[in-house]
Amino acid sequence: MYDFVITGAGLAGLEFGYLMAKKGNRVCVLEKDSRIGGCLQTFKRNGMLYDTGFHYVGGLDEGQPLNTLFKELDLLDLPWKRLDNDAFDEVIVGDEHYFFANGFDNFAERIITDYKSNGHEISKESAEGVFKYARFLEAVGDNIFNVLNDAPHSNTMDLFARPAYQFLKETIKDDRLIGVVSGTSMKLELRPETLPLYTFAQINSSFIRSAWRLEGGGMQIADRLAEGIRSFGGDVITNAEVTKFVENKGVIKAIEINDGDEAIEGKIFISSIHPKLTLDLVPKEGSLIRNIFRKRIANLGNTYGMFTVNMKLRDSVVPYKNRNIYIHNSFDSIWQQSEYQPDISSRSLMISYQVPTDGSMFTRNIDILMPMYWDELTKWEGTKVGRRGGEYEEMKREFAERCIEKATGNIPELKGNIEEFHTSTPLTYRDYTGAVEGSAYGIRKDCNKSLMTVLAPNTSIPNLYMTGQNLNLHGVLGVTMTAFMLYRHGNFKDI
Amino acid sequence: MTREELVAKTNEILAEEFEVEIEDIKPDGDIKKTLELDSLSIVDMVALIEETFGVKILGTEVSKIKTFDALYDFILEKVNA
Repeated sequence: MYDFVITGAGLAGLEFGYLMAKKGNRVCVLEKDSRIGGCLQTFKRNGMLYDTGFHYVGGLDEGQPLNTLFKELDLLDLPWKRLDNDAFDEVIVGDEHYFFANGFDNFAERIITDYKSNGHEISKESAEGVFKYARFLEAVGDNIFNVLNDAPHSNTMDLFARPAYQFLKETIKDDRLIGVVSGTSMKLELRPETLPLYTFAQINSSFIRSAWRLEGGGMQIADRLAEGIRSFGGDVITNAEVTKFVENKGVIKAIEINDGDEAIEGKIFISSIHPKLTLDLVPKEGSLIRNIFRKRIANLGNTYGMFTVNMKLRDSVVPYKNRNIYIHNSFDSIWQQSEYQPDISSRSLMISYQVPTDGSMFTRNIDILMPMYWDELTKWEGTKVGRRGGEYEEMKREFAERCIEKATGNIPELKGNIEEFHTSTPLTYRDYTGAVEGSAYGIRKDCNKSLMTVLAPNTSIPNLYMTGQNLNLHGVLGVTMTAFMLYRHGNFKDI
Repeated sequence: MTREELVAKTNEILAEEFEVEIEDIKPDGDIKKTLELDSLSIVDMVALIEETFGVKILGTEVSKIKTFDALYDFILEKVNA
């Protein structure tokens, strides 16, 4: 009998499992796929390693939020590589270039300087607004642990109920400048009507503190956590698809895997998969989960997904850049990406460089990411990886060519130097990670409905809890925070 | 919408969605007890009412509403606002 049985071996499931196992509990993490990792998975083709959902993290320097959490998770000694202090991200709009610098005052100063050098005048009010914005982000980051430390209730929920876009309008006022400061926010879904200020501020705050890539790929995080769980006497089992939660007298008694092949008994059950999928596993008859709750969860919208091109480059031709590049068509388009953009060329791109493992000045791998919408994939919804047909392959080729063309406009060395490339869509993502609709950031949080879209980890079944990117916050820091919230506050009476 | 219409509609959706008998919903009855609500399912009730009547309810407002009568008055005020 396990103390904790966890469904899903993505970042949240593994982190929570690691923390509980380290405390001396018997932990079992179940993964339906043949590989653990979820969004952290890497894949290898012709000797080259590619990342999928992981690109960079923020706030990993000494004393910063992710550092504090990763210290407890024993992840700090992985080969982290800090991005350039004075330019960890570059935003390109047309022929204008803007650089994001670490440190809140540096960030604001650099944005204002770049704004002027790109030929724009800035009002005193907007310049002050940029500083005000930076200080606000700093304060959000400073208070990030209030939720964990039982400080007198922080204003986190108030910030979840405020729209980010409106805050930017009131603070910075200048639409073009709002575009600039939002230009690296392809790590979240910018949606003017719904995006909560907290989501926007917490993510931007962490990267402005410091930004880091992981040499050798994101999968190392998952592998390290799984090894840790095993070393503490726990189990991480792959090819174990949870097909049913067995409920008896109001509590979950066991988990059935692979349609009844095996039942795994436990005291507390944690699900890190999408809440809709979690509830589907609880039989409807006589269940403590009411239909109205099931319906509400099933009706929550999901954020958009990503089309990704992973390129293998010829040796020693494309210089490594120690920053990410974001390319947008116009300042206005930055906050319009959450709406379906029929024209591929109007979509924004993120370009991520792989850290050279041999200390070379050149990179062998660049990834391009671009928003992709579920509606344009529904006709292949019923298909599986590798068997989606010629039309799908043709569509992917078209998307890839447009992405590469746009990237080459800014990285001319790419021309003629791409040895091979691989593509993935939200469908690929759905099939490998279980993300509903292949969503990149999970359930869409809505500041107008914060009570309904920021979900509680507990359920009406007393020993069933949820965690993961769909609950509160997404991204590496967000998911880690969400896992810690459950770890610190879960009232696990039976243990 | 008259108060009678609103009461009928509210009772109908609450009875159906929270799986209780419509006769058990009494004007001076305690909402939480009648519908067996906990802190989680209160959110479901808020969502249901917001969706049915197209109104917006704040967390601070909902905590003050104890009886069905108070709920009807509250919705009526919002609908007519």
